[in-house]
Amino acid sequence: MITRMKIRNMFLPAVCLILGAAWMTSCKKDHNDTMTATPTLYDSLGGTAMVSDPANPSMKIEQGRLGIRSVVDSTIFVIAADTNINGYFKVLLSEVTSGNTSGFQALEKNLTDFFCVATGARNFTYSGKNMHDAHDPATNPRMNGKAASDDFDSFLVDLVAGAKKNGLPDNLIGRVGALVETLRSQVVQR
Amino acid sequence: MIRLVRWTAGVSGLLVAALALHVYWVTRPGKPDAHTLAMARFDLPSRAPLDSAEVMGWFSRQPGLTHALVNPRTHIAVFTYYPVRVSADSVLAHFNQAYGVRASRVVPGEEDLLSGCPVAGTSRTYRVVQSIRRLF
Repeated sequence: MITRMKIRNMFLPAVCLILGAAWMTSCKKDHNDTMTATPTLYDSLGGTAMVSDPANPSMKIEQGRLGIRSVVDSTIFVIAADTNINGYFKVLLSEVTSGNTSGFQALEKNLTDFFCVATGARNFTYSGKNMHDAHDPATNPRMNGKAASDDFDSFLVDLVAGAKKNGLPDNLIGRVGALVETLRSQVVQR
Repeated sequence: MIRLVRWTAGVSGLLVAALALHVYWVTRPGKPDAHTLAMARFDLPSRAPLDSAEVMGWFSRQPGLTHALVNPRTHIAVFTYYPVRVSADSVLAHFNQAYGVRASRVVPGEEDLLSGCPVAGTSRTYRVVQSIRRLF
C-alpha cells in the first residue's frame, strides 16, 4: 500500500518533468533552427515566392527559378554567339527535338533545373548526368572531346555576361561564379 | 506449366511493346505549336560594316522574333523565334535584302546534333526513349 502511494506521488511530478523537458527541448530546437538557418543562394535569387511568369502570364513561377532562367536564357545567347565554345552546343539550333520542344527549350530547361538544384532549390530535380560523367566522352557519347580549362573559362565569362545582362548584383554573380568554379575539376578533363 | 510460362511471356511481351509504342508516341518529334520557341544563328559577312546595335534593333522589329544578340567580334547573330509565326529562312532573306549582304544560316546536321551539349538529353529516360525510337 505504501509502495503504491509512493509510486502515485512520484508519478505526477515525473510526468510534469518529462513534459516540461520536452517543451523546453522543442522550444530550444525552434530557436536553434531560426538562429542557424542561413539563406541558400536560391533564396538570395528570389527563393520560393510565387510570381507571374513573364513568358506565360497565366502561370506562376518561383522567383528564384525565374531569376535563374533569365540568366540561363541570356547566357545561352552569349554562348551561341561565342565561337570559343558554341561547338559544344549545336543542339541549340535544332528546331524540334522531342514532342514539340526545340533544342533551345530543352537546354534552357535542363540548365535551369541544374542551377536551381545546385543553388539550393527544393522543388525541382535535375535528371541529367553528374558533371564528371556528362563531360567524359567515355560515359557521354554526346561529348565530342574532353573540355579544356580554356573552355571552362569561356563558359564562366559567358555566364557572367548573361548575369550582368539581367542586372544581377556583383555579390550574387560572385556567389554563382564561386559555385560554378567548384565544378571545374569535374568538367575539365584534359 | 509450360503453357503458363508461355502465356506469361506472351502477355509480358505485349505489355512491353504497348509501353514502347506509347513512349514513342508521346515523345515523337512533332510539329511546333504556338509556345514552341526555337533559336537560329546567322553568320554575318565579316567584311560588311554592320553596326551590331543597329542590327539588333532590326531583329527586334521583326514579327515573330523574341530576342536577338549580335556578337561583333565573331560576326554571329542569334535570335529566338516562334516557328509557327515566322521561318528563320524568311528572316534570313529579309535580312540579306535589308542590308544588301549575304549572311548565311547555320543549320546543324544529324551528326552535329549527336555531339556536344553535355547537359541536354543525358538522362536515362532520354536514352531509353532514344533506344525505343530507334526500334521504329
